[in-house]
Amino acid sequence: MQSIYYELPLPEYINAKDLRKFIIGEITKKGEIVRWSIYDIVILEKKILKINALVLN
Amino acid sequence: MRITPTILVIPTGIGCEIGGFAGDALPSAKLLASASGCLVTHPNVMNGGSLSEKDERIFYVEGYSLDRFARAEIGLKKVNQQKIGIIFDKNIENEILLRHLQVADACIATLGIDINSYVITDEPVGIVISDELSGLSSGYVKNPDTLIKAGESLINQGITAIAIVTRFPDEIDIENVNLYREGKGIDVIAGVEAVISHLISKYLKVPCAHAPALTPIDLKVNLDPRAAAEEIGYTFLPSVLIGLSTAPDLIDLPNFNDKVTIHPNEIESIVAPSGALGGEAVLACMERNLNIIAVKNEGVLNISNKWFDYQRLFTVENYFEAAGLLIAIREGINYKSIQRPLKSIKDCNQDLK
Repeated sequence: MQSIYYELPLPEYINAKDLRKFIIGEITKKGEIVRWSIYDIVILEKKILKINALVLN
Repeated sequence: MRITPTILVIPTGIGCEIGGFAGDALPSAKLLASASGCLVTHPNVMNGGSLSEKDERIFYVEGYSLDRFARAEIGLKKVNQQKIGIIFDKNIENEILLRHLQVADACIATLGIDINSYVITDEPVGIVISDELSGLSSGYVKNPDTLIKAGESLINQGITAIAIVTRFPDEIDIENVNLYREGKGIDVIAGVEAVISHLISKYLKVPCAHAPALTPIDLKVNLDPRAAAEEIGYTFLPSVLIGLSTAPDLIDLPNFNDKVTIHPNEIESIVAPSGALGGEAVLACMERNLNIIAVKNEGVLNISNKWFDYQRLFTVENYFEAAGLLIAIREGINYKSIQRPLKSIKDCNQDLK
C-alpha cells in the first residue's frame, strides 16, 4: 500500500460533473485505489488539484 | 409519510467543528434523519467510542461503500440484525484483547447484538500514521493482506458484518492528541482508521467499521465535551458494534433477486461541510446532478464551491437550516418562496431577443 500525493493540472474546459471521472482516470494509473480526496486547490498557471490517494500496487 | 432520502457526509480526520471528534455529529444526523425521513451516513458521524444510538431512519454505511452508493453502484437492504464477526490485530496485547472481548460479551448480554466469533490476524497489521500532510490525518497499513485474509475466514463462517480492531502505536504525537482532546485539533488516527475499513469494504463487500486499540491515556481535566465519548470506557468498540448490528446489506447493482430498501436513484440530496466538497461521494452526486447542501462546518480543508461552480448547491449556515431545507424538499415546497426578496418569474422572451 502506498500513500501518494498527486498534483493534477485541470483542463480549462472541465465541468464539475466530469471532475470525478477525470481524477479517477489519473489516479488509477498509479494503482488500485483504496481512498482518495482533494485536499487543496491552487491556481498557478492553471488550476491545480492536490490529491492524496491510498493505492495498492 | 413522505421522505427525501439523503446522504450525510462529514469526512474523517479533517477537524470539523461538528463531526470532527467522538461521534459529536450524531445529534445533527438524528435531526437530518428526522427532516428527511431517511438518512444514509457513515461511522465517523455515528461512532462515539462507547456511545452510539440506533435510529430506524439512519442507514449506517462505511465510507468506501457510501462512495459506491453515491456512484449508484450498490443499493441498501434493511436487515433486522447482522451477524457480526471481529478481526483483531495480532499486535494487540492480551489484556487489551480481553477488554475488547468483554465489550463484545456485554453487547450480546445487554443489547442483544449477534456477535458470533472473532479472528486474530496471522501477521501484525502494521499501522503507519503519516504526518506528511500537515494538519490532516492520514496514513496507511503495512500488511493489508493479513486483514483481508482474516475477513475472508469470518465470511466463510457465515459472518455478515465485520468489526475491525487494530493496535495503534503508542508513539502517537501526544501533543496533537491532547490538542484534539481539548477540541483544538484533528483526530490524528482517524485517517488510517478510514483506510482500514475502506480495505475491508473494497475486497469483502460487507458492512464494516473500525475501532482502534490503544493503551489508556492519562485523565484530562480540560477535556472538550465533543471528545468525551472516547474517555468513558476501555475501548472504542461499543459504538462500532451498535452501528453494525443493524447496518444494511450492500447489494451490487443491477440486481433483480434481492429487494433493495434504498436504491441510489432515490437519493435527492447530499449534505456535506461547505469546505469539504472534494471527496468522492460529493463529486459523484454532482455527476448525478443531485442537490448539494453545503453546511458551514469549519475544518482544515477549504475545498468549497468557488472551485466547482456547481449550480444545484445550497449553502446553509448550520444543520438546523439544512434540516429546514430538507423538509422543504421533502414536502415539495419551493425554498425560494420562503426567502426574501422574492423575485418575479423570469420572462423567457427577453432571453430570446
